[in-house]
Amino acid sequence: MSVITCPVTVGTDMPARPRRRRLPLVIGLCVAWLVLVLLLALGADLIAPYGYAEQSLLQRLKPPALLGGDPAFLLGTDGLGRDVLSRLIYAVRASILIAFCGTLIGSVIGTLLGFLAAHFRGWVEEAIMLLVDFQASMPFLIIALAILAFFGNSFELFLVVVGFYGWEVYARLTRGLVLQANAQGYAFAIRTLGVHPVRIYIRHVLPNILSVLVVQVTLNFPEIILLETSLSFLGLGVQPPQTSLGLMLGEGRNYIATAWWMAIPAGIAIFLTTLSVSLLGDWLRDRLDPTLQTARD
Amino acid sequence: MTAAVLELRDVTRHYGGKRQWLGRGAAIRAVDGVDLTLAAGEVLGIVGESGSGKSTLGRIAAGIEAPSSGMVTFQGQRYAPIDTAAWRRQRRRVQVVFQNPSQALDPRLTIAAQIRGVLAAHGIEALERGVDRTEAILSRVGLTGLGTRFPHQLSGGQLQRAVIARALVLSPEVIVCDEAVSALDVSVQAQILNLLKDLQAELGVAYLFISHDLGVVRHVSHRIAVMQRGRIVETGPASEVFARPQDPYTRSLIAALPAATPAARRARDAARQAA
Repeated sequence: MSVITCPVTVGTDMPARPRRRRLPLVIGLCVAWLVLVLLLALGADLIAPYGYAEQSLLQRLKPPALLGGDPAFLLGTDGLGRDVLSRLIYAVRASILIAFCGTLIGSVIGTLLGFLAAHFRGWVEEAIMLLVDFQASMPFLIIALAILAFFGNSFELFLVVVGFYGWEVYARLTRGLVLQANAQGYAFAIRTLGVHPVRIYIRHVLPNILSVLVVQVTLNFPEIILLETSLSFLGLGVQPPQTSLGLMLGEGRNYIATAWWMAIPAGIAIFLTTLSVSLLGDWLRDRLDPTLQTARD
Repeated sequence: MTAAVLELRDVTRHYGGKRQWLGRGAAIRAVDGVDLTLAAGEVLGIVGESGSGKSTLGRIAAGIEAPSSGMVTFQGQRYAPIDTAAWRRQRRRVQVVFQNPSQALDPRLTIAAQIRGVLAAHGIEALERGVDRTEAILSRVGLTGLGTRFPHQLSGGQLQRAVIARALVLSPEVIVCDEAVSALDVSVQAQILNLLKDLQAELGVAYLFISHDLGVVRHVSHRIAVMQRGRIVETGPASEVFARPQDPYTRSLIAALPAATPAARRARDAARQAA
């Protein structure tokens, strides 16, 4: 015979812990990475051990310090003897700035045009949607190539061009959602209470469609990083000796077999940043939705 | 009864019939030459089957849709063109309670925040002699302490109470109830109807009460207008319309009502035979 020991829980007087608002581990890591990237971008001048154009030709193609390289160059050096770590930090700064500005410009312009189209209807809507269709039917890379080749290349122009990437998605999304709200939903009901349309849009409609737009931002942000990468790779983006993640990948391509440390860190930085933004966006969308929150609590 | 607060003269509303690629489309006459008067503090019920144009009539009466022809006057004045500043000011005096309360409220704001927002939009003080208007109106409709809830945390009946509170907080003279209880289950319907009745008696608001449900309309209305295919076929005091319906359409509507007792059913069936 065996004795069955029964685990008895005596007194379940554990304090009712508030279980809400706990950050999942993955999201925590994403936030940590993005904060790190942001700090690197902001403090690049202080953090980077060398300047991005600083060469020491005698120290060319040194491997990373842990793989038998010079401890003075943690991630090794590139084909011109420049410190890869320093260049990576400056590259992160350039790419983040471009992606951030690009997303901001695109989302603001697109959302605004979407609201205008849905509010005014008629020819305003036709004109805006015509632009949207025009933008959507042209490969963006070709438009960007044309503009940059025609007007020459400056960092500011590059920012603006990148900013126009993806605006049409915001415009379309916003227009559809606003029309929906105006037609039968709360926006119509609030309008009949005598509230000004601008107030309805800012106070009621925008917060309601924000979760959709946030997701679009998190899709758009990595895309812009990749666009910057492609354009720089093609030589139309950031110009040497300045650097960006895309440019580092492009320069490192020639050495990928012999000096992989030139391209791989930039690739990892791109990968981790885009992944973090996407995951964070997904999580944010759920958090921003009050109906989903109670379901989870 | 006192003077008319709302008057409709020969109002029509046609849909479609716009110029198309080839010729014109056929127009649908949702409302077709309707005359109607709503006295201050009166409850006028409008009944009719689906598609009889009663909702369109309600929207026109509330001033949120313009008639194709005819005249609507609210206290002797015509409605300002829709979406102008003057129109927004008039909104304070005519309110609409829609069928589906969950679609009429902003899902992202608490009930109290939505009511405060409406007050702010009209530049009305949040406090009235030291009493918070929002709290006061919420307790009046039976939602004491529920102002901090979001719409999805309330039941259908509570949501409709919130919508009614949001309409009443502006102290309007007319409320158009467009199928205001049709989306609720029967026991909750009765509660909301009684609330509307009490508020009406207390505040002297006039209702234009639109419903396809004769029983509901009979319960709240002083007068009843019966609509069929965009026209009003019969109108009169509620008891009169039910006791001695003149129009055959009204008779068929009343005959279709479910009977409460077997005796009532026999009487109804006998009336059907006679008709």
